[in-house]
Amino acid sequence: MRILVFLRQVPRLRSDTPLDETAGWIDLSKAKFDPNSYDLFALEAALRLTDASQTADGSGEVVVVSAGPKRVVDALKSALEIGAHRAIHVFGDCYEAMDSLALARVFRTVCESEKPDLVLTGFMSDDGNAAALGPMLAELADFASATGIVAIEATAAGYRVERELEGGAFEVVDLDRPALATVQSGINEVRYPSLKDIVAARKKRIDTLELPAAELPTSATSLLSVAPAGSDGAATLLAGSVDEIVSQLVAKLDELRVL
Amino acid sequence: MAAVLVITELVAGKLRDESFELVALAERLAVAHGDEVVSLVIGAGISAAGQTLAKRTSGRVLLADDSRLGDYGLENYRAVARAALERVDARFVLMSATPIGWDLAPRLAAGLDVAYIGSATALECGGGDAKAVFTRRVFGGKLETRVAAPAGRAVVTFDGGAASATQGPAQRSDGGVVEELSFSLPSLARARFVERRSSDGAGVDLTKADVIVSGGRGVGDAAKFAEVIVPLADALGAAVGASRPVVDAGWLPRAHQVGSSGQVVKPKLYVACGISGAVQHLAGMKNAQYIVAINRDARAPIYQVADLGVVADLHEILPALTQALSKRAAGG
Ligand SMILES: Cc1cc2nc3c(=O)[nH]c(=O)nc-3n(C[C@H](O)[C@H](O)[C@H](O)COP(=O)(O)OP(=O)(O)OC[C@H]3O[C@@H](n4cnc5c(N)ncnc54)[C@H](O)[C@@H]3O)c2cc1C
Repeated sequence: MRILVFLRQVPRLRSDTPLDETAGWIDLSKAKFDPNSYDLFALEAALRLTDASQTADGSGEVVVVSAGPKRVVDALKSALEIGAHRAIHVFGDCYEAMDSLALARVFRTVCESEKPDLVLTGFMSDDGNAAALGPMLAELADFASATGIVAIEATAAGYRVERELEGGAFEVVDLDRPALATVQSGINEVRYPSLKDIVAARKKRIDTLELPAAELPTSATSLLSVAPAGSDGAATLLAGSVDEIVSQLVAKLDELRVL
Repeated sequence: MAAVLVITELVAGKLRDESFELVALAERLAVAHGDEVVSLVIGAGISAAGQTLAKRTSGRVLLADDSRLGDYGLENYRAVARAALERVDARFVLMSATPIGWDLAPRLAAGLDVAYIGSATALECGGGDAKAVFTRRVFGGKLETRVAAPAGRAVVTFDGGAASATQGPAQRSDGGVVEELSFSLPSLARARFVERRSSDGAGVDLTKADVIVSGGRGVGDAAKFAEVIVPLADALGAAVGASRPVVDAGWLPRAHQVGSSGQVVKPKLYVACGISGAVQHLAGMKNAQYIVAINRDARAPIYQVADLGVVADLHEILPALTQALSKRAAGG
């Protein structure tokens, strides 16, 4: 069983992160980056599936893929330390600003050469929150797919997944191989690499893939502006010492007649 | 004539409120571009829903009524959507950002090779500039971007509340036009619906609570949650709520989760402690009558909906508040 995990490296948003008005995005030049949280759940889910298949018949490989400039190698290395077997770095600065559809086109090429049984990726990215890459890739690669899964197990024909719906409802879906699923939080707790894992990761392969400029897809969306999200109605902020704040809170609770 | 296609959604045989909001949004897009609005209803036994919808739109309603469409299945619903897209030249396809919307809409966009704009919260269109612009929240609701589809075609999902459902045209007395859509479903689905399950809630019904004290990831860990959130809830006679990461990490059972994938609550008072206020959390509590937020980040989106805020360390404020309340209860 070969599982591809697409892992995004996302910028950390801090209260002092500057915005880049022309790009309609945050200024990435000084940002610190982390692996996308949902993608790590996808990686862990992939590892649990291959741990099981390796025990059963010795097969099973998790290949982690990330597109972006040189810095995304850090995210790939973390994934190799956590337990991915091999990594592919789709190298280029252009991927930073690509929308989900353009990235899905790039990743389809990777799917064509790697021929995975299963693709797992996070439900959404912590930065763009688009929740689109996975299902778009499934459409382009012609895979069965399910989004927002909180459980997965291998079956004879493919995978049985549980999708989380709204208000505590779930839906069980059988996917034929090859399949793609996007992973929701709560599915697992991501393992911490041991020192041994970290050392072992240094020997793992990171292949670099550079696409010819002519083959690079273009985004179908354009960002016009970015700003702090607006308020419905401004909250009254309490100020003062802890005691002063507490007495104002108590007065408010009194007024609301909840005491 | 080009069209704006609305793919509506049913819950227990009834159209979702969000579907009416979509129709209102579609009417605005259609007017700006001189297009017609076409709404699609997919399900089993849905003619009543189709009639209801026809009264709320200026355009046509297409019905895909088939016993195999009662439960959502990606390939079946996609086949129906494609049949509708063959029948109308859709400039925009609108869906709601729901489990069906986020499963199907990006696939439709990729299949059509058009832009996808997910979880939009507002629409700007009209005026001299014919290009529609969509607002969407990013970074968990902290920032807002304005996005356009330069080629003029897109599949868009909207969050609930992006429009008022009553913004559409007045109720029509003539009942509008309802047409049957002809389609064929794939004989072999590669994604098969097996069953639907619901968690039993484990006896925690937050929807009936007058006061809820909720804690988020900012509380720190399970021990601190028990140390600062639970005593405050006790002092207030309140129910205990939580954001998703709290239940993901097992600090509390899932039944305490507030939000789009947890419980939707409307208490008199909601106290959010160490909760950033991501869209999915807000969806579960923004209609509380009064919201107090305690979060040390003044830019946290929870302050977008809060009435009263305390920008400070919750570990300083909450124990002091709990103590003040206990003293008061003891008559001191
Ligand atoms: C499909 C889907 C469904 C979802 N459904 C839900 C749902 O139903 N409910 C839900 O809650 N989430 C849901 N989420 C997750 C949601 O997107 C957020 O990830 C989550 O709500 C964040 O939880 P949080 O605010 O506790 O954590 P964070 O976003 O990490 O926020 C923690 C906050 O605590 C503050 N803080 C930290 N330390 C302190 C301190 N000492 N004092 C004061 N403040 C402090 C920080 O400033 C920060 O704002 C869903 C996500 C998806 C994709």
